[in-house]
Amino acid sequence: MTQALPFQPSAPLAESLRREMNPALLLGALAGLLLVLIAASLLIGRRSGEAASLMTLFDTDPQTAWLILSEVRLPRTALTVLVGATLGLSGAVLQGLLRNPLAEPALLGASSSAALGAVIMFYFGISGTLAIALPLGGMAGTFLATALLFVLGGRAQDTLTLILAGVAINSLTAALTSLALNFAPNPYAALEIIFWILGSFADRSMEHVWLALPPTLIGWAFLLSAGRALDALTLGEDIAATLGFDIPAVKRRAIIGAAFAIGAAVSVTGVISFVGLVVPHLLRPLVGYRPGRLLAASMFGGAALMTAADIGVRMVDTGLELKVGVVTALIGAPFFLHLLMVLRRARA
Amino acid sequence: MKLGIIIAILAALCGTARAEGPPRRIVSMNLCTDQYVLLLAQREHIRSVSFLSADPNESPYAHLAAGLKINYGAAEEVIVENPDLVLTGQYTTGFAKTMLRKLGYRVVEVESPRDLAGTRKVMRIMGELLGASGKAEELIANMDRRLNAVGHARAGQPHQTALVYDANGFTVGRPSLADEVLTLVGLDNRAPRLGIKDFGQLALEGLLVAHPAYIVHLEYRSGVASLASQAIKHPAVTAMLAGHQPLSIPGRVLTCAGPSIADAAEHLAALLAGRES
Repeated sequence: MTQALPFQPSAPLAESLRREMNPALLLGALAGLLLVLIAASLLIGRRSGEAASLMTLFDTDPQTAWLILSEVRLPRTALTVLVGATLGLSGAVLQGLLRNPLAEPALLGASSSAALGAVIMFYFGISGTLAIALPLGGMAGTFLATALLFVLGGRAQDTLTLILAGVAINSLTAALTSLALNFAPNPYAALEIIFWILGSFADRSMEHVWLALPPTLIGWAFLLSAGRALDALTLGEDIAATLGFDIPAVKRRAIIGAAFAIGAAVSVTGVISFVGLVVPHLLRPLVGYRPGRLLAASMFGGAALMTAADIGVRMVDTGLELKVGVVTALIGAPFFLHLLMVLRRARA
Repeated sequence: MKLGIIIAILAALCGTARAEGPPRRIVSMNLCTDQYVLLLAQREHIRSVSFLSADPNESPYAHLAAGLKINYGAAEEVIVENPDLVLTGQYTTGFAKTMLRKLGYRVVEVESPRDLAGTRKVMRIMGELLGASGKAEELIANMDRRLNAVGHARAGQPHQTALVYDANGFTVGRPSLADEVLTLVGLDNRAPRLGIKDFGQLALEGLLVAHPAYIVHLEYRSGVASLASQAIKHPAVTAMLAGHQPLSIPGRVLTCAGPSIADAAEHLAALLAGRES
């Protein structure tokens, strides 16, 4: 089954099976790691911030300490978990479905098009009168971009075609986002492009969590439903079809799922790259290269990596808080280059 | 210190101005120099002011700029006016400034003072430069009278803590015009105690820990959405203020050092009096 994957590391099957972990044990370990990171994220403030030590504050001013914990740190941490899980899961589904190791929501333009939709809703006052318009804008953006992507690269087995299509969608939507921000009635808007292209969890409130949660859960349900079909797809689309899987329907579900989950995530936190790329790759050996089993693991892994990255942002002592996309890109871009080299070697 | 140098330069320039009479073809490229020109110069001597001055969201003197030509800070917009005086701010339109100097135009860069004493000085110097010293003295006296009245009315009120919390978490320390206004109305600005000098950024958590009794918000285009203006609407801020609204005054009256400082003081004093009653 594993031989069908074009991007599989050339390691022998025996070795890959040796690295495979008991599924329950793997999920348990990832969940444990995530819990530790969640606790750290709730307790650790900005290094330069005055509230760095929440525990001391609980002694001196418990009311303020509780306010910080419940209204600032809690929504922030909830969003890192939600968004990280979304990115990990969509990365795993897109990589499996497109059978392309470089597929990732941000690289393929699914995230940046969500940002475009959200920006239009936000800056032109539509989400001011109707809050739900913000995630709806994000969802519409992702839906259009992902659908376009599947039309352009769905049947192509060629990695390059797909990535180039993603690059084109990415630059187009980034340019349109910039254009929209420059036309926005508030002059601050043009400066806020950095939030939309690099993402941040800073000072988000529970309102953002409640706004993002329902579409995220719906999106997850759609994406997870693709799991069994992904396993079959490793044998090729035709064989998967003969095994009784309706592949076009699976693709439609994936597009809808990605639209819901990524659209909601990006509309409250901006575009965060590379999480969806790195996490499935790191976990793939541990699930024995089975794309179906990778999904749940990638959710936990994505949530953990995102929470860790956001803690990292707070550890850097800068005047303006660093955007979380800077950290994920610093980890992810070298990883991406490494992947490209592995792929080239595998082809040679 | 810096202000002193600028003043020296201006004083030297004033010498030449006096010899030739006041400038008759003035172009101002900065919102803050615009206000001096609009308040002091004769209207027929103004060739153009910056586009910001025509916008009532940006300038308290937009009504004076109405009907005047506007520029967007580009060198060629200035050159076509053949000005005998070009006024610019310190930070903006750098390339245009350099080019205009190279072409031999008389470019005067005006620093923004950070306190009331500096504001009076700059207003005086601008009065001399524009040949309207009498008018400048009148504006200063009127501003001082209004500020004194506010200080008098607020004297004896209990001192409450406050922080300016603005778009993107910017707050104002000392020396600054906003700090002087806060002090005048009897508010105790906490920012200097948080290590903030003239101005700086304060994280949301820092604001919560400082826990001021009042938040002063310099309102700027609050009707149109931006992430920058969302911070003050964060539920944690609302909870800290126990449901009270921040004290919101239009930011434009404190953008530049000029007579509108008195508007800021009066506005803030009225809001405070409303809360206390």
